[in-house]
Amino acid sequence: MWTDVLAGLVNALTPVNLLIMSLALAGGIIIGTLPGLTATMGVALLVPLTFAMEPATGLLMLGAMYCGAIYGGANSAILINVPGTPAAVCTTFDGYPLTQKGKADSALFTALFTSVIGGIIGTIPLLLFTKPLAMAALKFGPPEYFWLAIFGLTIISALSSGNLIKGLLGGTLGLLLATIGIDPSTGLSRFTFGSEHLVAGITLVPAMIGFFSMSMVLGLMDNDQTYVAKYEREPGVIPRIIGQMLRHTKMVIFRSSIIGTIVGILPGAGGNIASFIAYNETKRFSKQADQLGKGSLEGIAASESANNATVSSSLIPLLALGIPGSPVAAVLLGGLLVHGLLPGPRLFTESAVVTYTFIVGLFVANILMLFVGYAGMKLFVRVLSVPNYYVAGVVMVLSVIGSYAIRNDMVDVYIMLIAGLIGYVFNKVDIQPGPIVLGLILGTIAEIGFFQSWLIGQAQGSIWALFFTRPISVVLILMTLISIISPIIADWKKNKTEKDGTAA
Amino acid sequence: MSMRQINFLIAAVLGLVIMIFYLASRDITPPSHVYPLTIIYLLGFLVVAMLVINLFIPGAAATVKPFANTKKLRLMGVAVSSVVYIVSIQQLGFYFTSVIFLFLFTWILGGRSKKARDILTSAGVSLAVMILIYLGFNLFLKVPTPAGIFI
Repeated sequence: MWTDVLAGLVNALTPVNLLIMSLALAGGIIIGTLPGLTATMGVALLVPLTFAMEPATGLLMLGAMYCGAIYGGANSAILINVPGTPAAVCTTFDGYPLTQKGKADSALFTALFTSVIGGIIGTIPLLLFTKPLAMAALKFGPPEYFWLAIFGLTIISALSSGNLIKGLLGGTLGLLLATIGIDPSTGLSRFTFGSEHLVAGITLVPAMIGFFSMSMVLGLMDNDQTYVAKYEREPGVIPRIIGQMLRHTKMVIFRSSIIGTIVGILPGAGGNIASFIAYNETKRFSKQADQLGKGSLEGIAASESANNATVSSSLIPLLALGIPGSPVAAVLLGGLLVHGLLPGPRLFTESAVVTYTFIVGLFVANILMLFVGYAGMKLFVRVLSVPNYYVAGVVMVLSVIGSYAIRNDMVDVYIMLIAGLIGYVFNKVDIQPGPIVLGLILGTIAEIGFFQSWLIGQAQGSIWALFFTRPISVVLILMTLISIISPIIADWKKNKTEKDGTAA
Repeated sequence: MSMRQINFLIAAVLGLVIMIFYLASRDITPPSHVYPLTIIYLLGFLVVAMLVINLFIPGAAATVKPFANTKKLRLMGVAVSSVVYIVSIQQLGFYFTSVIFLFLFTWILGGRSKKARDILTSAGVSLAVMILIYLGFNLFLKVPTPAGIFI
C-alpha cells in the first residue's frame, strides 16, 4: 500500500497536476462564494472535461473543485452575512460580526486556515481506514438517522442568542416547512394547498438564500452606513492567527474536524449538519461560550474545519462500497465510472495508483488551497470598499440567478423572495434565520428516519425496542440529553456564581 | 409598536398557520400523519408558551421597539422594486431586466444624482456586472436563466 501511496504522491506533485488542481481550486472557491451555486454544480460541470484527461488528473481536478467549493462559502458568509453554501451557515454567526468590527482579515484567514486543517484531518481516515469505516457507516439505519436529526435540533438552543422560545419557534417552523411537498412515506403530496408548484416542496437553497441574502439586502438598505462594514487592513494577520489557532483553538479545530469526519461518512448527512454539530459542541466546551455568535474566531474555526473535513470523509462509502455519501460524491461516482474505475476493493488493488493519487491529491489540494484561498481573500475583501447599494443590487441579482439555477423554476425565485421578506421581519423581532434553516435541513432526515423506523418496528413487533435499544441510537439519545441538559446546568452554575459573588 | 405587541401579532399569525396546516393534515393517511401532526402540536405548544411569557414576564419586550428607527419608505421601495423586478424577469428576460433593475437600484439609492458622471457610473457598473454574470453563468457554467421577450 505504501508503495502505491508514494507513487500517488509523486503523481499528484507533477507540475501539470498542480496547475490543474490550482485552477480547479480557484474555480471551486468562486463557485462556493456565490450563493446558489453549489459544489455539486461545479463538480458536475468539470466531469465532461475529464474525458480527455488521464484518470488520475481528472479525479484530482474534481477533488480540488470539491474542496474549494466547500471552503468558498465562508467568504460571502463572513463579508456580507450570506452563506455561499449551506455548509457555511454557522460561519455567518461569528464571521459577519467580526467583519462589522473591522476584523474581516482575521475572520477570512481563520476560515481558510481551519478549512485546510479540517480537510487534511478528514483525509487521513480516507487514506488509512476506508473499508472499516465504510462498514461502520452501514450500521447507521433509520433509527440512527432519526436520533441524529433530533440531536442536531438540540443545537437550536446554541443558535438562539438569548431567546430560546423564539429559537425553538424558528426551528419548529423550519420543520413544518420541510413537510410541504411529497410525503416520503406514501409518495402523495401534502400541504400543497392545491398548488402544483409546491409539490416539490420548499427547496433548501432558495429558502436559505432568501433568509440570509435577501433579508441582508433589506437590512443594508435600512441603515445609514455607506459601506457594508469598515475594512481595516490587519498587518501580520497570518502569523497572529496561526499562533492563536495553535495556542488556544487547537482542540476546537481537532474536535470539529473529527465531528466533520464522522458525520461526513454517513450517507445523506453532510457539511450542513457537521458544521452545526461542531458549532454546538464548541459552544458547550468553550470557556468563552457567551462570545460565540458575537464574533468569536472559535465559532468560525468550528464551522469551517467541520465542513471541510466532510469533503474527504464523504468519499469513504463511495470508494469502499460505491455508495455516494453526498450529492457531490454521486457526481464523483460518475467521474470514476467514466474512467472505468469501479468502486469497491478492486479500486485499492487493480487501480491502486490512480486511487492513491486521488486520495493523496486531496492532501495536496488542501495545502494548495492555503495559497489559492489567500489570493482569493485579497480579492473578495474589496467588496467592503464598495458602497452598500451596489453590493445590495448585485447580491439581489445573484440571489435570483442562484435560486433559479437549482431547478430552473421561477417558483424557487418566489420562495427566495418570500423567505427574504419574512426573514427580514423575523430578524427584527429576534427570530433568527439559523434555526429555521436548521429545521429545513433536518426535517426530511428526521421524518424519513422516523417513518422507516416505525415501519420496521411494526414488522419486528416492537417500535420502542427499535427506537431505544440499538447501541448507536442509545449513544445518540444520551448525546441529545446531554445537549439539552448541559446549557441548563451551565446557566444554573453561572447564576449561582453571580449570586455568590454579589453576596460576598 | 413594542416588541410585546409584536409578539402577540406573531402568535396570532402563527396560530393561523397552525390552523391551516392542521386542517390540511386531516387528508393525510395514517400513519403518515403522525410526524406532521407532532410538529404542528409542538409549534402550537411553543406559541402558547410565548404568549404566556409575553403576558406574565414581558421583561424588556414591553419597552423595546424593534421597528422604531426603520426607514419604512426606503424599505417599502426596495421590497416593491424587488417584486416588480422578479415578476418582470419572466416577461422581459433575466439579463435585460437585471441591467435596468441594477441601474435604477444603484442610481436611486445612490442619491439620484443628475450628474452625467454618476449616471454613467451606475449604467456602466450595471452593464459590466451583467456581462460578467452572462460570461460566467451562461457561457462557462451553462446555467440557464429565465427567458422572456428579450434575453
